[in-house]
Amino acid sequence: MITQIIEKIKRKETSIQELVKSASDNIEKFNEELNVFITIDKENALKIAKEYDDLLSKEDAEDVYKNKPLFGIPISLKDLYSTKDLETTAGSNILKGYVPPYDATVVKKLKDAGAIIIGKLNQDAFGHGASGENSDFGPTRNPYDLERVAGGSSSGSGVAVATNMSFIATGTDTGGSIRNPASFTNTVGFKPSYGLVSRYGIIAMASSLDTVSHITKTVKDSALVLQQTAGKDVYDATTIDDEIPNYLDTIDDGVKNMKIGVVKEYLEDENIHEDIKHRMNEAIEIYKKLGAEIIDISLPNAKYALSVYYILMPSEVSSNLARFDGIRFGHKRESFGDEAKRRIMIGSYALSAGFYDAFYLKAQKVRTLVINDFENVFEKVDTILAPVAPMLPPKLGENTDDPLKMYLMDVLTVPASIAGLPAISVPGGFSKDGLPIGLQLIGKRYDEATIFKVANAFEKETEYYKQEPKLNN
Amino acid sequence: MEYEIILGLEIHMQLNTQSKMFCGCKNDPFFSEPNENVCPVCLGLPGAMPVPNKDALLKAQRFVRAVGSKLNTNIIYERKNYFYPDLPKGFQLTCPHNPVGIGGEIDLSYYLDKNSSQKDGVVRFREIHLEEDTAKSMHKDGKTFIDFNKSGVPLLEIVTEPDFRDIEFAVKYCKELQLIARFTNVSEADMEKGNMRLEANISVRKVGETELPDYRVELKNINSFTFMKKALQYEVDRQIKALRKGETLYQETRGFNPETGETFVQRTKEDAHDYRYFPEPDIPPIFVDEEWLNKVMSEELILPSDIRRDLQEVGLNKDYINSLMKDKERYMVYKELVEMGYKPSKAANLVVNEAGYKDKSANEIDSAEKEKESSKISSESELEKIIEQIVSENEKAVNDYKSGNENSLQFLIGQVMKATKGKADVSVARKILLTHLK
Repeated sequence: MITQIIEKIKRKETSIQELVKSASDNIEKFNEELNVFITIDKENALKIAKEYDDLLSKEDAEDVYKNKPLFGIPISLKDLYSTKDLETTAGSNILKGYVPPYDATVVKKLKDAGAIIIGKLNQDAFGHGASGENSDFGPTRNPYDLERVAGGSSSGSGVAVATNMSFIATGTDTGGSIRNPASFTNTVGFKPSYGLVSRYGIIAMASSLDTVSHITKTVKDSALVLQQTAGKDVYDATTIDDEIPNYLDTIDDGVKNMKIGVVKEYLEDENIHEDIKHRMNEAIEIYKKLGAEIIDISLPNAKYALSVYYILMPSEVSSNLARFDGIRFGHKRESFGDEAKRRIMIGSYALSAGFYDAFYLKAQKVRTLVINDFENVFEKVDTILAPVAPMLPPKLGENTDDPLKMYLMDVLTVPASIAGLPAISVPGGFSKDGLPIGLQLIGKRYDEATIFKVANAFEKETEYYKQEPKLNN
Repeated sequence: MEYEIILGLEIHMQLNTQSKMFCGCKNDPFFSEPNENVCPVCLGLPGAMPVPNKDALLKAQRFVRAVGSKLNTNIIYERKNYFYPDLPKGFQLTCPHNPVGIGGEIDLSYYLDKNSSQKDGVVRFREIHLEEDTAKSMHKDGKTFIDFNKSGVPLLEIVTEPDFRDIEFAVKYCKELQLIARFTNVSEADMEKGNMRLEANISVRKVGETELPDYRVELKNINSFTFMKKALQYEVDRQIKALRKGETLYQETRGFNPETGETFVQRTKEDAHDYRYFPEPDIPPIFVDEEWLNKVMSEELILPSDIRRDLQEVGLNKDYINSLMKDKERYMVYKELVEMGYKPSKAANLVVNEAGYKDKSANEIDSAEKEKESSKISSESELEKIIEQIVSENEKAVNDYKSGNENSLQFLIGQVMKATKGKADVSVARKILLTHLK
């Protein structure tokens, strides 16, 4: 998609101003109903678009794109991304009005690559949630069914891309927060290995789990974005110094003779919706047809992953949110929403003297067991195929009174998160009622190239991404 | 019934690195305008992340080695969670459980005094860790102001076992660590500037008991040696008095009020913090490999104990030694003078006693000395002329002397002094006179 758009720009069949205009027209038409953006920066985006068009009229387009591969592409950012001089709320009232004095590393990289930021996206406050309903700015609605949620916590990200408000929407994935909204909106959600993309400037939720992620329409677009965001950052001590491969070089290589693992338990689990299992089976058949070998695997400790996650994550949350102490940023602590307060309490309890060993330390040990499970499996397979969410997009308000039920939405995404593995959610078709279903591919640590390749093969075969939501207007 | 002091010390020292502990901001909290050296990291802005400063780690390790503690090869940063306005993140980064230095000891027998209740000069270290300093709050006109220049400054914490039995000896220990920090260029260790801060854990027990007392009082933020002595003495007296009355003492934190000379309760055990420590996910464990260790171990160190031994060996007395070692610069001047050929006693005398040489370098002192010498020579030749004249004018006195009247020599010296208006050096005048009286 993005590659084709860029070709059009180079051939002068479209201008950057037209692209930005088109995106902002869609925002104007649908944002009120869908509640995708917290902040819209249309004026500035149009101003930059004009500058960029002027530049293209003077300079050689090939040269421009060599240095700035995303030149003129309208994008939007989850509101956890610190943006210099642009309000950044984290979806919470406690940060309302906060204007960061600096850009997150990834924001800087995307700007340097020529991307144009059109606005900041709605999300569950601080990333706490899987439905978008924990946003202090109201829930985002699903364009495939306005009565349903759009996934979370990057709730605006999936919809922004699904409804052509942006070509790229960034997000974060701590326990599934990018894969989940992608699966609910028929988009591609990518979560990198922990340590591949800098977290500097991204408001932290759980620092040992957070990954800086993005949503696009296609797998190739996803790889194109990672090519820009990945790599060592001197401001993030957890980023790796390895050379970043060119993901597009191998993305069309196909899956012939590749080994794809399928977790048997998931296909039999009664908690997973029938339509989702149906789509899983269809995907298995497609991969077989494309020449891949399907291998039954088992992740015996994966069932503990959610418990581990809901100890470690709130522990880190309780500490990361401590800076919002009512002294700075202009709002009192009462401005925290219920979910933030819940996690602060759970986390503080789990870290308390006398409980630390029983909760936090034990969770870390079980985390190691989950990591070992994956390592064993990856000796036998190249990638793992699994559903993203166990359920179809819930109706608004369906789970809001039951935090535990809400937490269960993460059950299939959390194992990759606690193991720090890369994963991608690709459109896997639709339910009987026409709701999007995402399938995920989980890869070895830092082997993003393989999951892009495997996801791309499926996408080329199915082209589900071409289907768009029908919105009135 | 006799009581003895059980005292352990925690010394905080700001390292003199170029930049702060976890960001690139200038490390200069004392001389900068408020909030001049700040960035998202040390302001604790959302999204900012800490990156450990290798220079600070190296300085901390140098200090660990210099005092005789042992280098730890696996340093793990943890979050110490607590609320305070000067702590913008809501937690302090520190490494108390996997610190930079573990164990080891320092031998300060040199400072032992026969009359002291301290019998063993060896002080054991519990651990030495490297953390970040907090911001500084100031209260004015009913408002609180916060200066973040100090936020994130590398702060070394040196924790001893409860090995002190004597307050004077504890002060000597602190002064020795201050010297080591200065001689190894790790910290200015200036207490007035807040580079060095003291905390004491103190309790008392009956002489003869071997178990540690079941309570201890933590005395916080003592900012001078004088206050340290006063605070500790007050606290010891208070505790002994209480125990004699049959009272039970509990674990608590106390502050010192210099105005009254008394300590006061700041926090009892009941409201002790639960810091909810956990490993900082943003800083991977720091593994000190062999190459790194070798680098630290092969550094050349100038240690006060070595210097002290050298100075003793050349025969300098304790007063000279102590004054020379008060600051490193003075000692280095002394050392250079000795290398230039000055006798140690002469060099020490020049550096310690000559007020005019206080801020002079060795070269400056040397040329000043040489000038003095040559002016002395020129004044000697002048004196020679004056004496020649006096000898020719006082034939009688000269003859008297030659015939054995010693008093005549005194008379002649008096004439020289008169002629020079008292400026001549008597011994020189005497020497020259005698050559003319042969």
